[in-house]
Amino acid sequence: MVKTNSSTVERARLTQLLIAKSVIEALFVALVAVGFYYTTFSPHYRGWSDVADAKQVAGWALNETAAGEPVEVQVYIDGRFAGDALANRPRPDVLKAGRSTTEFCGFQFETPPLAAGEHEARVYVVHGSFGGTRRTLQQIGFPLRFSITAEDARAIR
Amino acid sequence: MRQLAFWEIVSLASTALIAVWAVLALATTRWLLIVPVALAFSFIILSHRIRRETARELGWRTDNFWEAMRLLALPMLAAALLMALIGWFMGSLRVAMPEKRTALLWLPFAGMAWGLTQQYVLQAFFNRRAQMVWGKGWISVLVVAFIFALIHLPNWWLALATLAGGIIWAATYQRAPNLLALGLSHGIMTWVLISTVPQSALQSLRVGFKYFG
Repeated sequence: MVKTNSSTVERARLTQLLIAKSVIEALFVALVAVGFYYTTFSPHYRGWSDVADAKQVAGWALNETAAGEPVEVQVYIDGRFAGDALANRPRPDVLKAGRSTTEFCGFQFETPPLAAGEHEARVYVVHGSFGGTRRTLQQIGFPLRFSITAEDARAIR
Repeated sequence: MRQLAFWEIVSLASTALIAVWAVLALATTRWLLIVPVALAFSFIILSHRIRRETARELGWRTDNFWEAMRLLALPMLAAALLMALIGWFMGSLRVAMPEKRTALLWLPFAGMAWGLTQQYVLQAFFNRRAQMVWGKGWISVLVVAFIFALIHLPNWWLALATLAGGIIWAATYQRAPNLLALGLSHGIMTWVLISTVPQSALQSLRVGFKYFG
């Protein structure tokens, strides 16, 4: 009888231990994941892709915590790297709209020669994280779809 | 209690996998590894206390040291010869030495301590729990070896070596539970491994997410 009680107590204590460990572990992993997301995809980067067509891909981007320092942006068309630049072109409209504390936050890329048809442009802010050991491409705005006509394609060539 | 032993195995293996795959990949600093390590050791020690396992039962003893060493000698020699052959064929045979001479004073002890720590977790916890679930014998030995190898993925060379080592050490522990002998064997075999198998294959013994960079 004593043995049965002892075994039941042991079982209960082991079960409690397993549950407690699982809860602590789940909370820890959740915290690590949130920390990773916050560090890697910082909420301080803002911007928008305004235009994508046969001639250009343009928009604005900035780091709210360092508005005076232009951020690096990269454009990918159909998933392929198409250009890299600093977002430091004047955009008085963004300043006027209160979205930025500086007007020098615009970017503009010349659209590379593309075949006629449907295409998609995505713009990313590039920034370092984890003490500069990792570089993150953080998408700004939404992907922009645009068409290149046969005429456009010929003109670009 | 058998079912609980199974869940103890699953729980601790999960902690190890979280440490090498999630924390090393996602954490902003490696210091955060302290959390799963502390959690794992607290769990192991509390589990020993709840199950009333004595240090002697766990393998912290000296009376069967030579018996364990005798059981380990032949498989260790065979494994060392096999690794030396691999190293000879692949031209990677060397005497692995630390860059700083002063490290010679403490590195062997550090290697043994690391081996002993791993063997304590592997045998005194995983092996004993596996024996509670599947009894003594090949099934529990293989379970321990597979868990040991799983933690060393995706480093295939290391996973293979730990699978083989895991079988030898787990089988020895079931016959002569002595952690000191196993820790010593682990330290020696690690040195043999890094002295024979090409560095490009071992990837500096990195495991989990760290293996990729």
